[in-house]
Amino acid sequence: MQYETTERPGVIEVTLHGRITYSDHPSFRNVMAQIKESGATRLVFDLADVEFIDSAGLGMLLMVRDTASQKRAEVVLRRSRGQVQRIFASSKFETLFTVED
Amino acid sequence: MASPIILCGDGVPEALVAEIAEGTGCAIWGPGANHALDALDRGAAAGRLAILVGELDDDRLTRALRPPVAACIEANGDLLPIMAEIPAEGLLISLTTATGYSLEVARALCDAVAAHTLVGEKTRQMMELALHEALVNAMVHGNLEIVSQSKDSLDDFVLFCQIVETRLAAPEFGGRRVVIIADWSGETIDVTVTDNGPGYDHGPVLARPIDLNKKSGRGLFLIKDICRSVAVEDEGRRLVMRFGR
Repeated sequence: MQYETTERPGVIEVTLHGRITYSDHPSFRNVMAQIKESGATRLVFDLADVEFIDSAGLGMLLMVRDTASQKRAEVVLRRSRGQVQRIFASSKFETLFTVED
Repeated sequence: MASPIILCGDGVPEALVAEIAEGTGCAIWGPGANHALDALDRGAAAGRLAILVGELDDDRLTRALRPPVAACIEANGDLLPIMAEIPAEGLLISLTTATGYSLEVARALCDAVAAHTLVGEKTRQMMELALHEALVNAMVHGNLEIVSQSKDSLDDFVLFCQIVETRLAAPEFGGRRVVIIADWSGETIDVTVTDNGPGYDHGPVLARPIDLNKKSGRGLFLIKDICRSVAVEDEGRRLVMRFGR
């Protein structure tokens, strides 16, 4: 998985690319460190370029959500497609995150 | 009746190919022991091939699964029993755990299934996820005998990966095989994953309702949710997943 982040007042946007699997925990650690240091109230994951996510990837998104909730920040999952969109639906992620097209 | 298997190799001793051919009664393909992948790339092939391979990376694995290959077998240990498992209409991959853990096996196999037979794109995608989860379970909890533990933080993931790397490096664990068989002889596609671990009782896990907030241990639930049916055999060493086309 590759990613880049942009930050503007109140918002961190993380654009992810490729596949999200158990081997991507170092990248998520970096993202979580950035969340902890910022005052952002909205954390947006752009998933348009993510082709695959496994159960570990789902778990890491939930960990990010836990960290964000401690900072009272909203986590948004935006533009998921294909397999990612399907697995979010079957995992009922729309009840746990803000899901946007 | 299925076409007979023809044997070939890439990066393995010719003597090994000859030994397996003699033990199975298979004919040996023209390119023989050391250059089968190059010959496949050129399109020079006939019949159903079983390819014995030495080293693999993701590119070589993809090349080794294209039609008319019926089996890709990493040359390590006793290969004759594996040859006997090649399905009449399907695909078999046999790898050590150390090799399988380093490759995108689920993606390669599902792409290959789509190249061999009719399967919808949605099915292909969900089959890849189910197979990926089943392979992780087979390799990590089966062959590497790493007990499933909750991972509630990224520090837990770091520790988990360190344990996995240590076990992979130990030949008595990393050398254990995982065998994947895709069988599309019927209306459905059956994908079977078999490990050589001590076995596992899936019953309690499959019977539990999922906790939506659970950060780890979701793999079996995803498999159950995706597949038309799931069967556990051989005391938990074999998972048979059925998909509609």
